[in-house]
Amino acid sequence: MVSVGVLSEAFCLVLEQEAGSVSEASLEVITELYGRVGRQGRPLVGIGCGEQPTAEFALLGEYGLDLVLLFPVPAGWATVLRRRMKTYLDRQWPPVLVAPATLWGEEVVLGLASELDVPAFSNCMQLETVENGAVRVERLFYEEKIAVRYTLAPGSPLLATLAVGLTNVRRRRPGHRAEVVCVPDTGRLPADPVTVLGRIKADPRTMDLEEADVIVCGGRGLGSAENFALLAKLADMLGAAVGGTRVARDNGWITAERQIGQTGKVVKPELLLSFGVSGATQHTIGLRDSRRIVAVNKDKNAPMMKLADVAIVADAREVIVELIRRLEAAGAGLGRRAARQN
Amino acid sequence: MLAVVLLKKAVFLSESALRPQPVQGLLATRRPFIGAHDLAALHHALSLREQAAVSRVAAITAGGSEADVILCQAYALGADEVFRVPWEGDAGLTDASPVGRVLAGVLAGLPAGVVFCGHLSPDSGRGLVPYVVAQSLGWPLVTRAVKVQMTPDLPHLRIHRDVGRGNREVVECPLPAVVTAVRYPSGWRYPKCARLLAFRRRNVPTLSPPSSPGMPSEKRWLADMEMTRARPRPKKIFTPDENLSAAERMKMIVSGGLKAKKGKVVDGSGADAASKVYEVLVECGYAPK
Repeated sequence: MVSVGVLSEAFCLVLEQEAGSVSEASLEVITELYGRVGRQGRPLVGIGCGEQPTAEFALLGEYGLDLVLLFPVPAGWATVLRRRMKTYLDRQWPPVLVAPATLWGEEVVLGLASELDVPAFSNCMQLETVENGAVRVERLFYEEKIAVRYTLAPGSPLLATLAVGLTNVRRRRPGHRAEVVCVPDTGRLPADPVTVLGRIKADPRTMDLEEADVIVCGGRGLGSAENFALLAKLADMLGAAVGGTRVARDNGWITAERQIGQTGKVVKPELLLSFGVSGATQHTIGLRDSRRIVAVNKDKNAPMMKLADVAIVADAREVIVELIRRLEAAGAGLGRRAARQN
Repeated sequence: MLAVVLLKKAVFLSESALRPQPVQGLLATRRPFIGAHDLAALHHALSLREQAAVSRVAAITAGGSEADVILCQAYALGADEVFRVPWEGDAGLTDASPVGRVLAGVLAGLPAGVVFCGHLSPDSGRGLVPYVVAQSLGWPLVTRAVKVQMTPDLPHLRIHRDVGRGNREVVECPLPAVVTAVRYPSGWRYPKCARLLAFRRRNVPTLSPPSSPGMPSEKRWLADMEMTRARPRPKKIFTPDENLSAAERMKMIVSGGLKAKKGKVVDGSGADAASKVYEVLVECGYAPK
């Protein structure tokens, strides 16, 4: 059992939550912190938003957290969380408070630092403890040409955001569970003056492949620029982004920023449709975080077929043409939005 | 109403990072310029002036007389007034918070309705100053703006924010407010030669906070600060889970991190195959039934 009293010596981490679960960026930061300081016996405390101590928060113990404090704040309300944290942690402010270097992390950490008038360092590359238990952070300056290491004076609080995309997420303590404590609601707080009116979804044709939810990907098997134009038409109808292999890029069928793989982008879509891709390691290394893969290829022994959730042995062009025909018949034109409306 | 743009004197190290030379040698080659985010902030303010939402645009920077080159660029791009706040500290490495408080002190004495800043500067990129300014003035802050419009009939701004993954969030914010910009969607403006020459004939007025409080440096929190040449930024590469057996780890490396799945294999003509893909699309919600 970990007591809330450990806060005075704990490393605290503000958890980012996406669609009801803890984001990968947060898991990365937990992994990094556990490797740097958690193993040396420093307690790691997560700060999340929620009203019920769900099992998901307890499972963060496997990544290295000892305690999770849940504030009764809707996820995404950075200003309100800041105010709640300030009230709750006022008496025992943790020596280190970090967050992933994302929009949410920035809003919580930099906002708190400005309110408390303490130093904050954003997008740090490294955080570690040195002799006498002092904390040292490293961040890059001047277009990443110069690294500056700040060692904090004893007793100085540190607020920082840690760069993400640098560490692989690890379950360092399998079977371990974090204690989850719900912080009591301390009454109404003044409303945030900034009102959210709505969200505008990104255009998949122009968005970064790394951020796309659905990707249609083509390879050598498609054989020509005309077939890639068909692929682009299919992508338009699905609201998907177009990607390709190195061969497709070398042939000029796609541009360099649309290449997936070791020398291109590492993608993590919800759904990846792969047409005429054999599945060379240099390509599949960029797909490993895809949630669901559908592969269409003439060769049933192609490596890509073994990695797919649904492997279809057929001519890629024929399948694309038929899919376009069906989607047109069904009146699809805006991907998921159209599907929902129907 | 006055729109104020806070510009940072960002510096560019013109020497190659690859050339082996000490850090001090690199720092000696600094050239001041306006960062892309600051430039976007200036363009948003000028755009509001063109929509008659604000009457004047003032550009303010903090620093010594060497910062005038920044103000010259802002004036040539269309700012009506330019001011310099005398500042001797290092706003990038350590003193982001004190400089923010000094700027807030200056802004409190101006009839500003909206304050624009760049979201991050290209040299230090700590992003703290807008938060400190908004906090000190007690104004709401909207970050990462890509489109700013004045709401008709109300003293509100309607702002599109970049919230990642290419998505935007539309928010409405009462005035006065602090807005940080990351992009300007329309075409860039060009500096006008006549205004560049006009800038040379004028003295840059300086502004000091009315109470001139002694701003303690952030260095008081630090025991040590060490500068070195940066190593290349590490990139996340696939490494197999250490809890797996050696054979499984080898398999994962060979497959590029993807585990072979026992997925469905369907063999058929184009129409049958398309039906299967369509089923998956319906299942995932990307196609109508």
